[in-house]
Amino acid sequence: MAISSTARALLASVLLATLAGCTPPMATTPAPPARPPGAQTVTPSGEATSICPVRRSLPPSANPPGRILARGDKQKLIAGVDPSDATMSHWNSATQKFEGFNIDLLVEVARALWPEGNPRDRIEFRVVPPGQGSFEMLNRGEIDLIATSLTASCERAKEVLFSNDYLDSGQTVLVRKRDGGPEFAGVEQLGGKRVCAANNTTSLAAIRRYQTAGGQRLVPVATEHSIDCLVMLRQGQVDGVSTDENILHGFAQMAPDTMLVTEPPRPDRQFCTYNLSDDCRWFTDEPHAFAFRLNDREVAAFVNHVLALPSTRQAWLTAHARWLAGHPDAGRDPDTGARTPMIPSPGEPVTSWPPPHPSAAPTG
Amino acid sequence: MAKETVRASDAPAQLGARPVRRGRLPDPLRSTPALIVLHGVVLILTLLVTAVVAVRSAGPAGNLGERAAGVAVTTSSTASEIYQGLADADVAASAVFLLPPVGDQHEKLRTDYGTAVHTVERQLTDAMGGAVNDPDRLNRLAAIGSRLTVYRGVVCTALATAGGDAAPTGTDSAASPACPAAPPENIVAADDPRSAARAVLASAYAREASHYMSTELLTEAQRLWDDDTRRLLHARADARPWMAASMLVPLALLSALVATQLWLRRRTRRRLNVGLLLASGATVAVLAMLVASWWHWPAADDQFGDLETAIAAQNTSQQHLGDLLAGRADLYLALGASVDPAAHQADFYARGICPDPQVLTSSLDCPAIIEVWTARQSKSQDAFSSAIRTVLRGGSIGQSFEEEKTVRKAALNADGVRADEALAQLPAAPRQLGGAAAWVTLLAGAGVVAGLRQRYLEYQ
Repeated sequence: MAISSTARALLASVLLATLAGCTPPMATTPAPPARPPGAQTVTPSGEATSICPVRRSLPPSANPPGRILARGDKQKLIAGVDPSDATMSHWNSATQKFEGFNIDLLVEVARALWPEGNPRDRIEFRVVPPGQGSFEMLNRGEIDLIATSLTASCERAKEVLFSNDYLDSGQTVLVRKRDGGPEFAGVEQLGGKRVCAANNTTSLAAIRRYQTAGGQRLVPVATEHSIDCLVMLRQGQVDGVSTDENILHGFAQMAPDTMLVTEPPRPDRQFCTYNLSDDCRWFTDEPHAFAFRLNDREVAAFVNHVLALPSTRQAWLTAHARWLAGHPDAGRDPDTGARTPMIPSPGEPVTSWPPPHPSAAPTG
Repeated sequence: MAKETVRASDAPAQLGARPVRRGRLPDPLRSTPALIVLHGVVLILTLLVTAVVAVRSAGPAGNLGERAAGVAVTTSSTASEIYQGLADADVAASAVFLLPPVGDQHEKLRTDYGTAVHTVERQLTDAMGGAVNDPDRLNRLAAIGSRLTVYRGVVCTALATAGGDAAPTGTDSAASPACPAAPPENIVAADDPRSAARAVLASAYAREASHYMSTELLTEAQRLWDDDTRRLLHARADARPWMAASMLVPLALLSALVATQLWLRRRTRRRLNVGLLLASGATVAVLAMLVASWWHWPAADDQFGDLETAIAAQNTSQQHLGDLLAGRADLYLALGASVDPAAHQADFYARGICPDPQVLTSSLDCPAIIEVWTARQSKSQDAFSSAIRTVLRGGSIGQSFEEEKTVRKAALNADGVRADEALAQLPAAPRQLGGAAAWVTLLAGAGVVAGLRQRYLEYQ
């Protein structure tokens, strides 16, 4: 069989290259992208049911908790905080203080416990993991209370004691900004897209079970901390960050190239009872509360008392204006009954409430 | 003419009467001419193997000498420098996020980071220049380079997010800053309410960068070191079979030649075959030449053990130094705005830098470090600024880190000196005579052919 001149030329060139000791060009594999530690995709799961919220706790009590006052000269309140919340609690290296909405409320609790002196000097902050990841530290006695953006749910109420609800919020989604608008208009457009939330949070549980009107699931991505989701969003590794709107407000401040979605979820998934705005985008109900050990009823009742004080209500308004301006939570004015940004009034008790008696509760 | 004794097996008439026994050669092949040919083929094949061994063993014998070991030690030193450079850059990057992005001190930390990055980049460039003929090594260095680009990108994003006022520059390379200058709209004043929130996000990037450094960059740099030291071990391991073959194959050939000589003498009742005698003499010469080529083996084998021990010690010292630097980065990240100080603290103690947190190590002030972990949480107002002062280079803890680094670097250098000494003790590879031995083998082959051909023709 005759060999064509092209084939002969090719053969000759291969032979020449071989004889000349030519080696094929190096096949360098591209460097793997940087990702926050612990980030991983998880499987969607669960029924499309919302969480059971907890809005009311023990009756307020003005009796200062003896357990804390018994600490002698070293009396202090040890609070577990999440330092990645720009709005609720974060470290400010310029002022060298923890700051945020939760911190301002904690200062009111410390002020009520120790009216003399600077209440900040009475608080020791410990950084805790998000969600129920902090319960372990609470139950080990390393902290007196959890003051993260913690959603008070019936399921969690079996493990910890909640204060009364002090802030209502709901879950929505933060996405990248494209041409001045959101890359994805709403959660319904995120079917089949990667949506991120922190481990051990109700936010992750909600995106795992969310199903769009077209029956599509989201692709949940879990990280160790919510802020890692924002990093991944900016690096193009996820398409949305989903958690409570009060946290996402802070994230949008940190990263001007991101914004909240503008379209609401489909009507049967919308939850707007505690939302003031006309364009409510919440698809979960997230009452926020401080958490205590199950047998720490004295501290919980005292914090409820502080939350009901007029001075605290004023401090709440000041803190809300400073840290959560634009957050559409709806309180009810006790005088006029009008809905307005205001510390929530204790809601209806839920079936798992009140918690078990201390003697029946596990000791920490 | 000498009397020929023809054996029964050579007589075709008798052959047919005897049954062929299983496991024996077929009768036509058991004739003396056939057996002569068979012996000849076996001898020629053995001669070929001897020639191949003589030629091919020259490489491993030479590699075992000082030159190969020298190259391996030089390249592994480069790998060690790259590893340290990367770890230094990580410490410098972590330190940048301790302070708000304003002020001279912050600017100095950024400059330190720029310098550290440029140093490791220069080391990489030099190493790549020295590895142009080594595609595997070049590939490995390119992998480190591409990962360093990713790492730098994350740190630059962190710096830009923090909203600093200038890009860090290397002291000797201001024209190529470690990060591009931050856009004006990104620059925020320290008293800007956004600055604290941005610092939180910046710290999340810093945490990611440090994680990438540990899991990707330092791992890749360690692989480079492992590759370099593996070459040294391979040089020794490769030499063993060639050395054994260089001795055993010529000996086997010589035995075969002697055996053939004896068989032929017994079979043909003739005097010694001159061709085979000549081949035997040539084989003895080949053996002598290969022994001369491998004369350095016993001493080299002995010294290679010492060299390997020294390199293993160097590796351990490097790990200790790397752990110290990574631990320092952990401390900075935990004290800075990191969202996970507890994890950084756990990482620090897992590195074994302070086996007992309450006890001083040789230089490191472990008890003082305990206070640093809680400085950001303390109710005391000045606890944080005091902790910052102590952990930076001029502070007591920073100073103790520097002293411990000096101690660990000294240990690493001492191991390097031991490796150099072991290297100096390695005997130089003698002149390799494998090629000449192959020619002599050819001569032996001619002797075999001539000698056996003569006997064969006599039988014809």
